[in-house]
Amino acid sequence: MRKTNLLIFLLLANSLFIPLALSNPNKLIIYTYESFISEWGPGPKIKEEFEKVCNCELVFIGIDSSIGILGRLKLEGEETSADIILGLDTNLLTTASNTNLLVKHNVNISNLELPINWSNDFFIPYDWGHFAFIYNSMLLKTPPNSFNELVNGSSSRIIIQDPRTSTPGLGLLLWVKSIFKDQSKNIWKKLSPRIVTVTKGWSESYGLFLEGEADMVLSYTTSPAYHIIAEEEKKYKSAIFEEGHYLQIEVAAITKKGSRSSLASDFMSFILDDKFQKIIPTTNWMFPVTGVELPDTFLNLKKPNKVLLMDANEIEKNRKIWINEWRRALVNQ
Amino acid sequence: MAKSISQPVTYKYKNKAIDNLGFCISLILISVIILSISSLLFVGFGNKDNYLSSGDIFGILRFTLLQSLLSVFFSALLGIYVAQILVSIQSQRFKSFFLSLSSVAFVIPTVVAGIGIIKVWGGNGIISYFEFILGADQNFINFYGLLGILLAHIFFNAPLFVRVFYSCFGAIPDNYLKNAEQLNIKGFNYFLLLEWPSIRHILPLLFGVIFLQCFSSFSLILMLGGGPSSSTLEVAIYTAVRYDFDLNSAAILAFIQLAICLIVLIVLDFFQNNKISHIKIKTTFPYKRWVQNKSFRKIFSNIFGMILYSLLIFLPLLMLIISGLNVEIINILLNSKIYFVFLDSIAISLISTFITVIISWFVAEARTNIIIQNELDYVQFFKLKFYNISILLYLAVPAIVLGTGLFVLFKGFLSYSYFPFLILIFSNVMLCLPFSVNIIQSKSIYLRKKHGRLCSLLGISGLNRFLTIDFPSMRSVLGFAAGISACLSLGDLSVIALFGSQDFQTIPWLIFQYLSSYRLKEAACVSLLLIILCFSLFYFFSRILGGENA
Repeated sequence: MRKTNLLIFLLLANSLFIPLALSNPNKLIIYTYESFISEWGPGPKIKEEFEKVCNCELVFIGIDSSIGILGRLKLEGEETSADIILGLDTNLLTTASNTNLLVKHNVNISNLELPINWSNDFFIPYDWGHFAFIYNSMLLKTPPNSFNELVNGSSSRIIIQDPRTSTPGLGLLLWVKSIFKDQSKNIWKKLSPRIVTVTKGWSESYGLFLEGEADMVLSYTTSPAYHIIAEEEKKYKSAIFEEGHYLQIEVAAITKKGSRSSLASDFMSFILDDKFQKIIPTTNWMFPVTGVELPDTFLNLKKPNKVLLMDANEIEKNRKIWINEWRRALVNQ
Repeated sequence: MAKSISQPVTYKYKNKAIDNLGFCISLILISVIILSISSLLFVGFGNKDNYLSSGDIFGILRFTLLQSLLSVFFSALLGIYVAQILVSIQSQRFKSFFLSLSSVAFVIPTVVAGIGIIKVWGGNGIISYFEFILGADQNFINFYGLLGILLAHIFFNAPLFVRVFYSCFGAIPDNYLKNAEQLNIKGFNYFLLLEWPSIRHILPLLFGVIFLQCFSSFSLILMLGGGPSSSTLEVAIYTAVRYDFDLNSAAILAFIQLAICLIVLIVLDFFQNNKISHIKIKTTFPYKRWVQNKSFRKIFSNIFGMILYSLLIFLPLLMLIISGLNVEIINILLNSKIYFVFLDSIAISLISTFITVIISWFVAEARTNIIIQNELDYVQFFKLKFYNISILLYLAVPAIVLGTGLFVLFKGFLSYSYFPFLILIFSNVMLCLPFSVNIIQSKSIYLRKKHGRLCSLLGISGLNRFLTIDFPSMRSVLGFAAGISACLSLGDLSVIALFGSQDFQTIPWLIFQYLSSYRLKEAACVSLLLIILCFSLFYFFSRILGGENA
């Protein structure tokens, strides 16, 4: 028992001293999602590279999901300790800039190489990918070539994520909406019997898929790259649909607090630096936003011919209506 | 019947402090919950057009109630069945291994457990493999849906029922058993006359705990539920907080959820019989259980029960253990950072356990002080109900609402760097309390009845009495309560996920990190290590701290 007491004392004592450390003026605090800062994620390498040039300390605070970052920022409001938020995706842009907690950046973005034209004063993209259905090519010999075929001509069972709780889930909803417009509800109804399950987040879905619970899972076109590079496993492939693929772009922005020092601006420029961008593909498993050299595996990935992306304002306006339409379509089978 | 032996003397702990402390603790718990939810009402974000119609809410509630009641019912049924078999088994070693192992099931992070269950029951699981061998073209069982949810909830909850029922059945006095044999009481009558009275007094609280757990379960229900038709109110609350920042609606939905849980708890409470005279005292601890005649049918039924239980609980566990034994485990074991995560987690778990056990002891004794009186006045009666509700209520509060509420409440007072740490300890304690109080309570009433008169006769009271008389007999339940709390605190991901911290990490968080970056093998390894750690902690607390009688 005495040992436990000692342990408690040490732990409490330790935790009380941490706030002192946080008041360091040369400290840049970034809110991001958890997997970004995991040991194998881009976080630690980026920290190392940036600290070499900035004469400062970079602190990442990991929150459970990208949407959680925005929630945390809203809750803390003007008193937030974050200088930068990193990890929102394009679907949240309007919501995020409406908070009035972010400031415009003045970074030169001329070296951006994105599938679309980027013109947003608040946000800088740091990586991107296409949503896609991933399949095991040993088991599924003839994957559907189009969304239409997936809905009407195929018997593949799929696992997707819930748009109410997950970013890719919302991505799929918007993907369907941008292809099928008013017909979306019927599409979901037709798809419904072949949806094995709808999970809370990406990780559950992908786990179930790897366990062989479904023929296809909603993920990214870059997912096969992970299996090839990290596991030398070539059987996982992405199904390319001729109607086009919905785009996910992940972005960063400076908060009002961050605008008070030049450190945040320096980091925003650093995002577009080769050092940062080179880290992204094999740690975050997404495409870099500049023309840095890519690993061969990424160059050989199947690429969609057409890219879909909805206007953030339109998403903000209709999201609830669309989600409700989705839910009703799947509930009343 | 009770009247004839009712006593005017009450065997309260003389020390009034326990009453007051227990009451204060309950008051604090309730206020924190109510305050944290209400605080959201004052922070208005986002547009308030709630897109769930009342019809939608009704549908969601209907499904949630159905799945949680069925889960409780089937888990309890299996619990009784297996506990009956277990008391008839002689080997103490086997029994304690069995109980420790099944208690591990109860604390595995939900996503990991979900994968384990799928490895057994899913479309590509062991069961469908056997179906295939038996010549089936396709699966008989469509696992995703209500069935999947029930299997998962049984996996989590049946072990607790087994453990609690087992100790209740074990406490049935020997002369009852002898009488029962002489009178040839068997089968259902045996259950009704001997076993039912021994579990009756704890059922409402226990049902309450499990019901609330199932009612507020979330990611597992989405994962195994097969689509939005199996959805719970928690999903709506999560969306309201996370995607819409509509904290007002979230608070209102959370209050609806609380109200419904409260109604169910009150209904369950009607069945509660707190009269002490129903609790029988077993004065001897025979080394050998009174052996019933073993018919062929009985043996067959025992084997069937064990196989069923193994299929439902041990097989998924075994699959998790096997999948954790992959090549990556070497890298994991060689990675020093993992050890820090484990140390952080263990420290947090030990602190939470320490606080939980002390608080639950106070609350349990304070409750016993009331229960022990034969006639309750209104004040005492409501005080008792207040205790019951205050320790259970946390289970009905969505983690995201509690976390966000606490954040809003303490904003500006606390540094964000150690806030997650405090909040994690707090939520761990709240999570463990219902279980821990439950476990300590039944023993506390029993001891009070057994020792009360003797102590007042000898004039032993207060701390003296606790240390010399009650503590030695209580070690086993305290040990078990500590074991459960330690494991539950290790496996809890709910609140920490919302805040994040660069200062410390927990094991479930690490698993979540692995899972969200393709690293399923590593996640399986760490899950295996978590299982081993839980088992060791459990074993440590219930055997070493709890003594040989655990």
